[in-house]
Amino acid sequence: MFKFPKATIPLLLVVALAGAFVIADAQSYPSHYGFGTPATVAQQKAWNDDVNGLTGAGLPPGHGSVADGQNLYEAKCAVCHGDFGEGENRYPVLAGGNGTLTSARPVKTVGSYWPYAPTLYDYIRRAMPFNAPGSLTNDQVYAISAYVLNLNNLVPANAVLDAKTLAAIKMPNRNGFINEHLKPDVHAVACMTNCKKSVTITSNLARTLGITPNETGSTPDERIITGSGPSADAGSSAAPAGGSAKHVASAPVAFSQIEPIVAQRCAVCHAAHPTEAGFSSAPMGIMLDTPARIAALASRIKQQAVTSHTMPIGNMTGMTDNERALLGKWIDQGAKIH
Amino acid sequence: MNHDEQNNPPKKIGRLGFLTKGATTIAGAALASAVPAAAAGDTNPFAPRSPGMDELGETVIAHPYGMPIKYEASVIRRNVPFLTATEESSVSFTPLQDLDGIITPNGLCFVRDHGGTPIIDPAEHRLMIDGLVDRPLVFTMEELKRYPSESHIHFTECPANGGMEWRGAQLQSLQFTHGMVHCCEWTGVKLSVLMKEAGVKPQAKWMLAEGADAAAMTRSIPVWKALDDVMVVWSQNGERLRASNGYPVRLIVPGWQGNVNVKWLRRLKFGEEPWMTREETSKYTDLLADGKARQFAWIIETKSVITSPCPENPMKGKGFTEVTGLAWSGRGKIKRVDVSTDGGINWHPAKLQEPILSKCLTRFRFPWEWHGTDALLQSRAVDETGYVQPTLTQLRAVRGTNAIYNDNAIQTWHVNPDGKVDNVQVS
Repeated sequence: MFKFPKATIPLLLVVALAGAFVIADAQSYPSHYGFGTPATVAQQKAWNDDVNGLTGAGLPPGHGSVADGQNLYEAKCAVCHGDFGEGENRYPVLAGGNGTLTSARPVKTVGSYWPYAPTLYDYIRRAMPFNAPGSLTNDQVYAISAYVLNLNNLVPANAVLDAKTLAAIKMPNRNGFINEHLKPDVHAVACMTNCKKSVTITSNLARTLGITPNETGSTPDERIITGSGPSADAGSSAAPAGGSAKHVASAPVAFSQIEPIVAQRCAVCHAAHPTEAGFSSAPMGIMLDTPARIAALASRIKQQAVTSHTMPIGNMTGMTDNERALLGKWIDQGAKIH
Repeated sequence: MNHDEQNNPPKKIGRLGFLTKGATTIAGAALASAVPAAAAGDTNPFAPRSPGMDELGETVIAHPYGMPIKYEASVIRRNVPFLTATEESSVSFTPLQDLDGIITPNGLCFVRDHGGTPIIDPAEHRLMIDGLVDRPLVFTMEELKRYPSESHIHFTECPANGGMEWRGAQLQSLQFTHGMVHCCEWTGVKLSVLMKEAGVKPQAKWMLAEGADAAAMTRSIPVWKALDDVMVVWSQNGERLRASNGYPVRLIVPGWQGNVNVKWLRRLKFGEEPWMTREETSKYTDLLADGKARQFAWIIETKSVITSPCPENPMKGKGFTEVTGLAWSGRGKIKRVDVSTDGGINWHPAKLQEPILSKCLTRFRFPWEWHGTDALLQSRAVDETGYVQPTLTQLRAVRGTNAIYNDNAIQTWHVNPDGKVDNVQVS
């Protein structure tokens, strides 16, 4: 083992301590860093657009009427939320649902569930319309809020809302929430042996229900094979003239051929009023009972009934392979209903 | 279907799950089922040289940013198209069935967006701190990254994970029943440091976090939590955040439901009251059977799931099978995981794989000798606070079936004699 001559030890200690002092200074974290720039009043004003649902604090000047709101709603909102807030496809239902919160199928809407009216203003202004958030003026947001509240019978048809009147609205479900939840509400015990007498399977639908997306036709493996292998489109000079199947014109499929297939094979369940026994409402809320709804859901029909055979569940309505092919062709041609 | 008679492997299996010699012989003789016997082995002709030896491989810079080899192309996020009206306000699920250990690779982290994934130039991004503070501040990304940083490994789970299963077993897939969770090492600055910089006033009790996406996501977080362990992060698993996970900067709120971990963070505003935003009133609230709803149920309660076997990972044959899975708790560390092969009649402690970290996925393993008969596999986690993961029956007794969110119930996988594994629910 290496040993220092005795006389050098105090000197080394002094050096080491001095070094330690310098390093310790460099390694300490200050209590204040001073990075960042003070936010100017203008910057804060520009970004400070949140509205407090509880108090209405932050609601801007301006106003909007139910009547103006109806026009705006029909132009900008109804395509997803439906003319009367009933919700198209899987888009949120905005109106109705009163008295359903304790039912097996609760319908949580602005009227039946939302506790605070200013939240509606805040959300519409920050996030709606879905494809053009931030595009509405403050007055337009007041008007649309007023119309949605009117659809829920919470304000009269002649109402004009502003910061004061909107914050004053008492929503029906205002007292419907319990918070906060920092302690567990379920208390289980970790039993180890003979914890129950027997076990019964109470639900085993998953295997047969057929709603789990399967990989048919859409696995990445297949994409990679077509993507990295020789392609008909790539290197067109080597391809025979007109050789790509894409370019072969196929006979147009008329909607009149499609409608009866959907009616017989899909809409017996997927309708506002299903005719199939055991279905009181459209499964998953998906309805295929009008030409517009069928066209709007064309891509999903293709995925569920053409690309995969997920639908009809268990093929209970007996959709044939020819029918699936015809559906696919019609959808590929643009799913036209006229 | 009664499993009482068929499922009592504890009687046949020793403490570590290994069969006695006599029992092995009996199991080996019963080869009538379709399950390939473990002894069947590799039937391919044996090659004198391994594939890859006969020609030069790719250059070291063939892939400047490496991607998984093509043979792993099925390991991807997937979505359930019918769940949502659009693919922008939607979710894609982590393929837990294909992952080992506890870290989720960045490209496989589940994505829950409310207005699509924005692609943000970090040079143009700003984070503002305002409201009840002495010094309202605006930060560039470069300024933020000058702060002292920390790295912590935490899970993040969307509280809607398992939300399809309240009324019954619906999805035949681990990825879709449990894939709204990921676990990453996050690097960034503790929020408490920034709060000190801005001088949060004593009367501030709540903080609004706002995202820079098309949904302008907003959630209220109590100041006590913000001061405790919340981080403002710019890296995940060693590299900068992925766009879909919040690039260039996001909030990590350890152990709390995913939605409050606001991505693309643009503003933190301090105030006296919660904001009662749309996402914390009409959404992310648990509707109970009596019509009341639990609000601000932020903490992810103790949960676990077996990731193999599962519907995507059927049995490979009779004999030794290592059962493995993941456990997590929003309250701290996982203390114990038990495994049952008979639907919860009898339980056996599983082995926990280190590291066991707070508010982090923990891997467990359990050696099992499968006889080729029906089995009902379950895992049950206990965390360091003593919270025991409940059965679905226990959870429903308190929450009903309309809650959608915060399903942390014990999962049951039914192993069939043919080796297929089904998602089921049991009494």
